[in-house]
Amino acid sequence: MRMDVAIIGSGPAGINAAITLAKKQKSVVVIDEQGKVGGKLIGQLHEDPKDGWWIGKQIAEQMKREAEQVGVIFLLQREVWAIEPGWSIKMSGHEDITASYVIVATGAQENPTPVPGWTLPGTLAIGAAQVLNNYERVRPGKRIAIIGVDPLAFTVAQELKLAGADIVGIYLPPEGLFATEKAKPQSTIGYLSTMAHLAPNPWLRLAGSMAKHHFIQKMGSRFYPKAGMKVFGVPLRLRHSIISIEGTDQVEAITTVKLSSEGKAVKNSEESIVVDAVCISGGLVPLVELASSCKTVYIEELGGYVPLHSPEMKTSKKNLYVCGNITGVEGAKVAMEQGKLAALSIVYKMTGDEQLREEVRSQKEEVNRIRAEATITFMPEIMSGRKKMEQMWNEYVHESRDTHDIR
Amino acid sequence: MRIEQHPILGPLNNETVTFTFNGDVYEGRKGESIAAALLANEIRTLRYTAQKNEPRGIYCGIGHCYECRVMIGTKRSVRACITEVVEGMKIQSQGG
Amino acid sequence: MDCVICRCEEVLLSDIVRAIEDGYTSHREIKLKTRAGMGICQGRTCRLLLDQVIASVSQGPVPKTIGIAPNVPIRPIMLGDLAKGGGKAK
Repeated sequence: MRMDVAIIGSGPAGINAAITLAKKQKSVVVIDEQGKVGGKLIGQLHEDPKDGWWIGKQIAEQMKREAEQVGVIFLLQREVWAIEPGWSIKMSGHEDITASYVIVATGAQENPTPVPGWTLPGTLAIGAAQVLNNYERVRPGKRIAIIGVDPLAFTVAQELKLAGADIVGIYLPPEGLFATEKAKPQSTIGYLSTMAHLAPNPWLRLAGSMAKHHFIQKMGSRFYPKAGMKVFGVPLRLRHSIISIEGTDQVEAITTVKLSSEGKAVKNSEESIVVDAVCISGGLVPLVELASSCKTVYIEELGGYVPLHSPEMKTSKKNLYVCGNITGVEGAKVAMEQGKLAALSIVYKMTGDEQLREEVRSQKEEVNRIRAEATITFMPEIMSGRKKMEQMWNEYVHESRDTHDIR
Repeated sequence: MRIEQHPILGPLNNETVTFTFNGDVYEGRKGESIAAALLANEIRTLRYTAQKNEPRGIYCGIGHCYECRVMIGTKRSVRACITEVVEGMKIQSQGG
Repeated sequence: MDCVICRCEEVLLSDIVRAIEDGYTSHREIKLKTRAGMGICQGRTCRLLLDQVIASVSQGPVPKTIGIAPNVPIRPIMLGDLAKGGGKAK
């Protein structure tokens, strides 16, 4: 099969790129490892302060229908194992696809936070719990503990509660080499306070404003109530961490420990709490493996390693573009606009049409506008991360002007 | 474990499929993953590891970790989290 | 605190720390010594953790280059696919 553009990943960035390209009369195929279109969008469910309920499953279905109407081909349950220059997309058990352009929109993966007992059935990455709960409509457990204090943990806690689960608390991860700052009450309060203005759900708003409160900030974690504060009925336990998960054949309990204000475990403060599921939230990391032939750079504010890319979404490899969370961890709305931008950039490159140049320019502004008004921000310093990327790209273009073809 | 009613998402699709896991017959809902169908039947342990014989179940949910791998008929290492359960499917735990 | 780091090959944190203390300090060496990252998921889950263990034990910063770089093929594939180079393009 020969196409103008092959897109790897059918998440919000990938589908929107596909729709945009197909509307411009380009032949486009979207390849995904999963049998369902939508990537991580399918599990999303939260109340948007402006637009009401954001039901990821429905949005993904609508986008899939729209894409098919304009001629996008979906190849699902295909594992891409290599993308070779030219481009030739290698898939297990299937014929190659050749395409003039490739968009890698593989999203992000979760950063694992190991805890003793975390391999017991019933312990889930928080994203897995989200999809089971909101997409499959199967509750991961009746009494659930959450490890990790971050926007995804808050969002999923609310979603589990909506589905009738009892959440025993949101806890800090165990102190140790895998969670240094994230295991400390003080730095977690600081982190929460940067989120106070963001409102993906009332929880985060409340937790954020609480943490932002001058008194609590100044006193740090010393005066944070040891029993935790309930946020909409779920205890936020910033002075407790989960040190192990217990069970024989599956999760039966967690062991928690009290923390001093400096984040040290208090002796003899272990407590066992009965639960049947544990969700671990360790944050998201861009999934760059399929774009590892591109030059990648480490930008902490974006979530880690990301392919070096231009503000128009092109990478160091000719005719290879990126969009969505592979470029930095952000919400689905930003990913969609980035998808459209990558698509328009490719159409401009293919046609050289001046009107497209203008469309690319205005879409870049649109990405920035959506980013500025995003109600979900995973990386508090995303704006400065994006600026760093632009600077790095400019330096790269400058350095390689004479030696490489970087069109 | 099934969320039959949901305050935002409404009632659940109730088209069913029948499948077996390690020889026992279970009911799943059309369109759901194998992992979801088993969890809905209170089954979390999908296999035991090769070296230490430890129980494992679904972990990452996106097909990365392979912890939820099962056998479908004679096909090994099928990921329960991203594979749809279908009518008559014969699912088995695999060693390792 | 000891716990499983590589879920596929059942490698514990203590196994990895011991390997580093015995002088196996690079990703490649640790991988070959302990089998961490050599299982069916190909290090997709533990790669980030190994970075952190190495940085912590050697007391250096978390490496700013990708540790165990993803190898092609990045997914487990059937030998037949490799043999035919992934099939001929149509």
